[in-house]
Amino acid sequence: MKHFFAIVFIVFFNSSFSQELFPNTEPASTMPKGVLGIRAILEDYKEFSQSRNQFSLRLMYGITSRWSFYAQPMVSNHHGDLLPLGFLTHTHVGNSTIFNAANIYGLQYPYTFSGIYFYSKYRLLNFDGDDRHFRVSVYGEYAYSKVAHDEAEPDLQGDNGGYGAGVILTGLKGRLAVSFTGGFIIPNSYSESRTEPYYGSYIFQTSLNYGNAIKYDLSFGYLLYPSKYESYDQSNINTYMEFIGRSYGAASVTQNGEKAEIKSPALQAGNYVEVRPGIQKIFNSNARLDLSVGLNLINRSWSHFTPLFMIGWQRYFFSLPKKTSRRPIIE
Amino acid sequence: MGANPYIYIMKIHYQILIFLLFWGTILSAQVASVSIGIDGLHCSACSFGTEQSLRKLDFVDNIKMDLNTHIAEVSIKAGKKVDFVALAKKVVDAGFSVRSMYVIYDFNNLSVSSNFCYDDKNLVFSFIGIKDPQVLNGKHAIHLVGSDFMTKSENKKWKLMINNSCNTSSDPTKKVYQVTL
Repeated sequence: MKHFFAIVFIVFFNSSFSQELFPNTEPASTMPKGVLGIRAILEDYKEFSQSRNQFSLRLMYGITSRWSFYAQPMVSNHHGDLLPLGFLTHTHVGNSTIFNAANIYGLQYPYTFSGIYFYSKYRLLNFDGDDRHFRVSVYGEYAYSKVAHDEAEPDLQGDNGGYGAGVILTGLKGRLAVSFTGGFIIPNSYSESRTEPYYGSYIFQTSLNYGNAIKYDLSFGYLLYPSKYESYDQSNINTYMEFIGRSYGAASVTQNGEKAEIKSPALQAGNYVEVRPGIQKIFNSNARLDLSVGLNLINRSWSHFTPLFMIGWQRYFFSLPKKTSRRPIIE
Repeated sequence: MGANPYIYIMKIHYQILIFLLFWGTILSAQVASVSIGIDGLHCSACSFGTEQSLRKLDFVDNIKMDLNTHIAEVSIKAGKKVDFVALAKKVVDAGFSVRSMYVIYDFNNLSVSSNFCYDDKNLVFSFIGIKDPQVLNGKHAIHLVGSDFMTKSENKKWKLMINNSCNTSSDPTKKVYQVTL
């Protein structure tokens, strides 16, 4: 393992181009002014026999050269309309969810609109040099969501409404791009009223306050091909190694006005680091195809299972003024 | 009797010759192209974005971008007024910085020295930092000086040499650019 990191380190620092188009995190660089970008993201993981998918469509716009804005609606089969029964005691073992000792399964949910996520990033500082730069940006994020997420860990991209903010530092030298994101997430609480036929149409009210979270992500990017650029048509291959870190507080649950006893580890405070190796192909210096897989490194996420597969496709649309028509030549 | 047709034709030829000479002078004394060195660029997608940003300017004819040295050779539409600050702004709009900007200018036996003001049809060049007077004839690259056209550290070196004596009283729309060789 030591040798592997040494080789990676040497390769990274001895080359002359680098990439920071990270598949799983945002770099401190912002979008070009007046340019529209579209990104489609499909995430997949397995929960027992169920394949859990989320499809996101991210619309991105460069308001100024320093200020970008994104809007991202999402559709997934991660959650039902209401919290699963037994969510207070459920646990995850491997890729299975155990609601009680006799009942091991992944619940089947239909695809539903899970929410919309907004993100804005402002580049505060940039130090540009020949084939290098260092940039610092701040970001804010806000999400609307009504899905019945039943774990303490908040995620504004699909699971929770709420807001967050943070700072991004991205350095680029030679073939290596390194980026750190540090931020916080304050999720909204969730509440529901359900009628329980078992108790004779008794109305059961549940309110769930998720834990606040801090995030600490570290991403490395490396240009694998080409060693020398020849034209815009030439495909580029980039590789990435991203470390996604989260630390979050415990959830609290109130049922019919009384604080419920939480037995589920998924509703308690936690932290984890996931490693997400990825590969990317750039077409015609504009469109890009990303593939990555998330694997547990330290502890585990309780809001999703691993391996977490991600496939993303993105391209920019540059608005060009229409060419003025030439005057007709009268002979 | 009317005028000798031979002399009449000669007169026309003479006028055409005068016009062509004059036109030739106008054409020769103009910006041929601009070479922009761009900092902070790395990927070809970033070069592509910068090129698209520059192409939005109506006086830009074509761009040849070197994807390895990150130098954009911008050719200018004939007869169009060039705004070098607008070119620099488009690089910044794309998210990058101007390292250097050279104007490839077609001169016609012009003697230049420090603090010399050259009044072009569309702009004024204020020459600075020239040790020995020189005669410029044909295409020459002249280096634009100022915070829009170079790195911060480079700009600091030139700051004290700026010459503000060139005026544009004949046409206030003209811009004065500090340049060196």
